[in-house]
Amino acid sequence: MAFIGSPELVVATAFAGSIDFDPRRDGIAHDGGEFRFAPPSGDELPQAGFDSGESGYIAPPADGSDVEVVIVPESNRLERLTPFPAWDGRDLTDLTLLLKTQGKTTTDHISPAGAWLRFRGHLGNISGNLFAGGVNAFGGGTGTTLNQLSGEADQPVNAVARDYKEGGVRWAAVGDENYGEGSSREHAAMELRHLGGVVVIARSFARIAETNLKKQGLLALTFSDPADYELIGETDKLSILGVAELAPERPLELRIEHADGSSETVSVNHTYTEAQVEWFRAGSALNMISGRV
Amino acid sequence: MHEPDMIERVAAAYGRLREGVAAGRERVDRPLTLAEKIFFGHFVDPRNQPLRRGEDHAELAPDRVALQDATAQMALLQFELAGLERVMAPTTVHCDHLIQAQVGAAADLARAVDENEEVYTFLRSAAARYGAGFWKPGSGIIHQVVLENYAFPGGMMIGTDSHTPNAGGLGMVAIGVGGADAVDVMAGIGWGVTMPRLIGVHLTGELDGWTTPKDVIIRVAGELTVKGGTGAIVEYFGPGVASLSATGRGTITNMGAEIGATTSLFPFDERTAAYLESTERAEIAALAREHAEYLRADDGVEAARAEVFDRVIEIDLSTLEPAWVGPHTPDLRNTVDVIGAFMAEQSYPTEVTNALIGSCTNSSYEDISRAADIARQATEAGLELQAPLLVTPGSEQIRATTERDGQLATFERAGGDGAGERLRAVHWAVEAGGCGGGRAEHDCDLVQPQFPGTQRCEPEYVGVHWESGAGGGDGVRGFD
Repeated sequence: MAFIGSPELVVATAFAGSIDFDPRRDGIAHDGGEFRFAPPSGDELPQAGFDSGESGYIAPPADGSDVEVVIVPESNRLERLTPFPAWDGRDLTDLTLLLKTQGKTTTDHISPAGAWLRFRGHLGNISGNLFAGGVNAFGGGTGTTLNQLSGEADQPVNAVARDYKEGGVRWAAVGDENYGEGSSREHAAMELRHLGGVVVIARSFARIAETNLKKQGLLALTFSDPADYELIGETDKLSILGVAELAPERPLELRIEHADGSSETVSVNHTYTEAQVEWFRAGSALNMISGRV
Repeated sequence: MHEPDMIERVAAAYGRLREGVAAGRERVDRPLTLAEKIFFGHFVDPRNQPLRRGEDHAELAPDRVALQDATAQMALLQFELAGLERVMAPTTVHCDHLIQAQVGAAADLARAVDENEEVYTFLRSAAARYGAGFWKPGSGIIHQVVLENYAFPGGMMIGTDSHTPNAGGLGMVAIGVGGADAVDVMAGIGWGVTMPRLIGVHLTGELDGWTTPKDVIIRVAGELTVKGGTGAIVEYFGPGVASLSATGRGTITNMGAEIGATTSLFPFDERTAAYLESTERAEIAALAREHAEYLRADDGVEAARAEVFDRVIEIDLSTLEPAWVGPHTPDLRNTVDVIGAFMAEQSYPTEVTNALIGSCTNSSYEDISRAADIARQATEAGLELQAPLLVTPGSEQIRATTERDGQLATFERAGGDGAGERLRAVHWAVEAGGCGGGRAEHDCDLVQPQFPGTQRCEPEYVGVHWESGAGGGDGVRGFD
């Protein structure tokens, strides 16, 4: 149990030994008598000026272009990033569903913190937590999904995503209401892209998470009719149509091909601005800045 | 002064402030608050920026970026992908979050350097490569170092830490963000927030006796609750402001993070100038004096406060009482005269088992000096501490100065020779247990102070900690 008060009050209370102590009125029994504090006093600023002590500052050189950015090769905490590829100019067709989450899908469901934060500088390693907290809409398992390449059920989502990536299978994730609420941690978007994700379709997004997905070159889409979330089956193939014409305030189409051979097409919305469309085309916002298009 | 061009940059920021406020006056036909002036001075397009509070998206150009060592890793890795030679806004990297407080200053620091060496080496080299300043482990808690070196009245900065608003005590709009936002500003992608609502805190009267700046924010938190500041800037104004020191104002704006506020803000005055001068920034103080009218709310705001702000809280400092908040939440307030009755009602034990002062919220020279005065009074009378007292200076500068001036020795004397393990004044590494993480990132696992069965997340707060009845203390979630 912890309480917060001013430093003066905390120190007085540490001498009194009980929080039930009003230093303005109460005394502390001592030597057969009673000690009372006078109100605290102290200088606002040091009369002799500040002593900077042992300075911990290192200024950057005027020209840093010769400085090597050091990442030890065997590091498991740091990994240099490689730019995500630019959009290939085509519609996103026949996407495999990696995971459809049900209920809350916060950043901590998508990329849990805790011990994983040790790897926050290593995208490959921290991606081991991808959707570890996500509740699978088909069967309700947490952090697991069907591996559609091997047919194995209840596999860790990150392992399935890695299989898909290695197999050249592009995948989509489907989320529920307010996908990505909570932290602004960029890993929750980067990990998806790193493991081969191309689109997240949700009933709705938390704003920061939606922007982070856009920055990393994913498509962040919402069902125009939130009830269409229910249409998505576990082994359905998803196609996003009209991507070449992606423009502000112009919905795209989502074609859902069900396992039984039937299909349907619904409208999906987005909030891309013209600048954000360029991020998507370039593969990421930073690709756009670097001119690496 | 750590950056050779800092004066020129501040002067240029004041030029934009003048122009932005001029544009604002053409658009807003009433007195302007300080927050509005600083926003107009930092809008990308002050003439056309939509202004509806809580609705429109503001495109802003912050003056600075501050990164802590946890979020800086991915931020700098990403920045490499931008293909730029240098950061587009002045940036500093602060090694504070990866230090764990366990034993004491020297040992904690040594262990942190050992465990995190590869991370520190990367951050230092990346900072040098891309033109960012680098603060080694041991130099201080990020926002304390920012306050001492970089914050300036009328400026705007973002920092990857929830207590970035500390700089609001000097009149800077300082907003805590995630690493992705920091990358955007460093790479020149642009940055923005939803136009904040404005909450005004009208201060009258004068602080006195046992009442401190901490009691002001405790009172505000009690009224607004932990969510009441969400999406809002809390601006302090009125004649009572003058009775608060610049660093005391920093305590208030720092802890404003606990009510969810986007940031909190105080006007510039002579006490701000005195702090700038004392921290070797007399030229910035002089520039601020020249621009004083842009660095405080218009005179008419006080009279028109009900119309100008979305909400107004009135506080008479002369009648404000010292108080505690807690347990479990920073908006449960009890003044010191009624805390005993509250504890009895809840059947909580009242024995203090640990006490902590300093760290990120209350680490000023004034705080440490006043707290040391209390310790001196008690020690001179022959009293002994009834619980371990942990003292955590927020920066190397505060540590060195309070060591030189004797305050730290006073705390050590209070610990008492041979008084036993329980009666010890421990002095932590300056950041140890410092700040548990940004608002967006609850990195509580980075902070593990060695308190018997107590909290993890809130050691940056001055607090009284004791074991609860069952299973040890349970910490105070939501405080980081």
